[in-house]
Amino acid sequence: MDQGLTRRVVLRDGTALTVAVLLAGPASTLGDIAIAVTPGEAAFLTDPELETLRGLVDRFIPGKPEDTDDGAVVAGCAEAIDALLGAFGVDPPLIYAGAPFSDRGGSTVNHFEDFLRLDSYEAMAWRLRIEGSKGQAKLEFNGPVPGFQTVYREGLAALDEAAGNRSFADVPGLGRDLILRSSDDPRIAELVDVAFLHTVELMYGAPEYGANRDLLGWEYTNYDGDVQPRGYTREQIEQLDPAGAREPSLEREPSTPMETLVAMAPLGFGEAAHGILAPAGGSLSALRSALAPIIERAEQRGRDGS
Amino acid sequence: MAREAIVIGSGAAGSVAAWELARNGWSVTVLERGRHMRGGFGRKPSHKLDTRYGSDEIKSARSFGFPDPLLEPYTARTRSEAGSGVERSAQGGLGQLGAAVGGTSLHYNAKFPRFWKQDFKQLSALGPIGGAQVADWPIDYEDLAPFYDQVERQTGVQGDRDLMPERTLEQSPRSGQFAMEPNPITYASTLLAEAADRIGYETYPQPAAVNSRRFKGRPACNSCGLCSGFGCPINARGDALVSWLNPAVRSGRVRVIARAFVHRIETTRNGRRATDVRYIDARGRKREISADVVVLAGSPINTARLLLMSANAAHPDGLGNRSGQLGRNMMFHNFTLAAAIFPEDIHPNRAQSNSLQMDDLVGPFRGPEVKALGLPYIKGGLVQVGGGVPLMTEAALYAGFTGPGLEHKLLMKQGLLHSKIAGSQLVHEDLPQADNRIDLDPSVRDYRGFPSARITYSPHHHEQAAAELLGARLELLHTLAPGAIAAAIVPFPLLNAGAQGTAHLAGTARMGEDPDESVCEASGRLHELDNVYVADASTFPTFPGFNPTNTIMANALRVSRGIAGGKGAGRPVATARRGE
Repeated sequence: MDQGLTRRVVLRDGTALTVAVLLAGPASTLGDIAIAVTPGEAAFLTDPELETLRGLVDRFIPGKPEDTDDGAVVAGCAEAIDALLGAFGVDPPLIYAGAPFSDRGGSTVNHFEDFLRLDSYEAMAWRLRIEGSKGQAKLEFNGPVPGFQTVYREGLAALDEAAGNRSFADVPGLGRDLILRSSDDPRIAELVDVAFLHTVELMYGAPEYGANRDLLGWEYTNYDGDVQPRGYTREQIEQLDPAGAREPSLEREPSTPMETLVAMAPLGFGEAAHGILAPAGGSLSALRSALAPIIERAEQRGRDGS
Repeated sequence: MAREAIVIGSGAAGSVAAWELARNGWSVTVLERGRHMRGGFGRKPSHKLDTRYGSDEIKSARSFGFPDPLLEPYTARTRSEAGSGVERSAQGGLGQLGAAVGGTSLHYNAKFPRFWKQDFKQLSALGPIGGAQVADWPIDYEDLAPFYDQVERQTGVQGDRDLMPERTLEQSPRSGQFAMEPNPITYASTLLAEAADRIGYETYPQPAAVNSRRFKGRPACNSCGLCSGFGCPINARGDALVSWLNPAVRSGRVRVIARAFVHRIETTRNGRRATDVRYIDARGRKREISADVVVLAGSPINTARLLLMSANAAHPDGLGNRSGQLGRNMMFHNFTLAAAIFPEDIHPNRAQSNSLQMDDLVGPFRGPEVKALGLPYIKGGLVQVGGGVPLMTEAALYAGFTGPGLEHKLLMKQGLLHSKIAGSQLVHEDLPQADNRIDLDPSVRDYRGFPSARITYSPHHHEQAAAELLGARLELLHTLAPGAIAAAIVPFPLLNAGAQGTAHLAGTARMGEDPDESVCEASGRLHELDNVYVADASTFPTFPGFNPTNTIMANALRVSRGIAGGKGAGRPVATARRGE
């Protein structure tokens, strides 16, 4: 953690865009690495299960040496998923971070760290989502709900089985990729269907949820993160940032075909993006189905253009 | 003795209705199925309210402030699926509107255009379109104009009349300048403005109910970018709650019951009057409440669902549904999206979502290219010019393209969607169709056991043709952005046979003169009941391509002033009959 502190400060100093105002409030500059969620406080998985989960999130967002930046394991995604699975083990449950500000945008207090109390409706919804309906008739009004806990527990067990009854995490990265790609075990498919989007959310969302440690996911994407209550100045809104304010971080080009990248670019409009993501309900397969027509159109255009 | 009203729903329509009725001395109970999100509500002035919202994308992804997709699912299917007997092909969070005290306005984009004069008399001016139920509104722009003025003054709208195109001002005349000057225009939007200028299109600062300076004690927006879909953490946005409902509650004549789910309206035996409203409270207890007048303001899907669930012997097909039109003509704004792509970081997110508006694709267009597609005309809508998405949203979208692995991470580092695009959104007019409808799902239920609303929807050929023809113009515009290396569009009406995820909803209880062809009269009152009114966008006979909240509020103000006996609405029947 000490190393993280140092790195964080160094990065801030090198990031001209966000530093100047922030440093005006010295009390706030170090607080942003506080991790509100710590394993053990809210947790569901056993240590071996957590290790298997680390082996999984490592394939979702790989770190070194495959990439020059750390990935989901170092960012704490496995522990943060475990905190979600055990969200109701603490009070208030770790579902919604507090408001209105973290201490990253000029507030001296980090309100995000104090998670919100749920009302009975929210608690019922999130208990059902996490713990499942467990055969209770009043929760099975539209049929049984398996719950994240079951999906993870069974899926992680299936991964260990597929690894030859050892920890999936002990299999080399390429081997784990192969298992994920070739498995026809529905337990693994169901796990990946929710776990990848959980990993992505926690990697690139606010660190108070337990991942994105040291703002790793925001640093390598050159993302400002939450900036309230400071916001942006007129100059920052109207003009490009001064040259050199941001360093390119892409040492390696993505291999996604240009026509696909171009085709997906228009989805980058807030209202419309929400309209795609919300109906998918956190399911990767539902999201892929929703996006399939756009990919098909891109491929069609690629063929027409060639 | 004060007259009493029950308002069902506390969003844009319900809050304005409660405010206006209270101003006229009525005693109002607002029933809202969502929870309180603003600390101090009803006790503190709006500029001192706390909030449960922050610039937190994970909260947004976790349905914060929305009906829960597991507990209260919607279901959906396309029309062709319905034709082949498919009961539903989707289930979950498809309704897209929030559930909280203050409604969806707590996290809306707050774009605040007006509808145009031509939208109110479309059938007369442009004629019918096969397969659609295009209708004139029973009111004109001039009927709404004074209510637009008042809504904009009270909510606090930024904009600049002097920069609005001539045709926009002809079609939506304004009595005065906006309350506030525009926010700074974000760099990404100015690039697209240059491109628009090259092909003779005009962009201008989009009117928005967002403070650009201190207004009624609330601070100026600082263009943080996490706006649409997020509650404003600094209280810079005018909305149903801060601008209408909270002041109304503080007047002492309005009470709000949160987590109150209304499932039925009871009537007299002859069906002419609502006698009481049944709801389930926060603790799951069955409650009932009565008043002189019932105002429905739960948004189109929920208003239709409630009226359908209220069927009784006098109203066997749903309350006020003798016409058979209840639930029909469900309209969603489809979007055609466009983006120009740049090699460097142009920070499109440093804006109140997007800065500019363009009206050159509103239409109607009646050229040979339109006729060639078999249509008498097409209408598009406004274009919201210049925007991007925040990081986690980008990551989730890429996830659906790449699946897991290093490629996803490399795309994130490249950061196209959050840093290197200038995006736009054409808001498509959606024509009313009889078979685009809300009904009660035959088997899917909410957790209380009530049938879910089922959406049956497919876009009309008109929307697809508009996406085809206007999408090409939008793509050209983005191609011309200075410095752009590529451009593309996503024309949803052409790609999606079903309902697109959108927070822009209208229809299901259209208003009109003829009780055989409409559900409500011009006053918002159900034709068949003396004391039940609809104040939300359910009554809109058509749905032109403009962000609807300003019109929803203005119309709710008109309807509720009519209920209270004031000028500006149709004949206030309920009031007239009270002495009988």
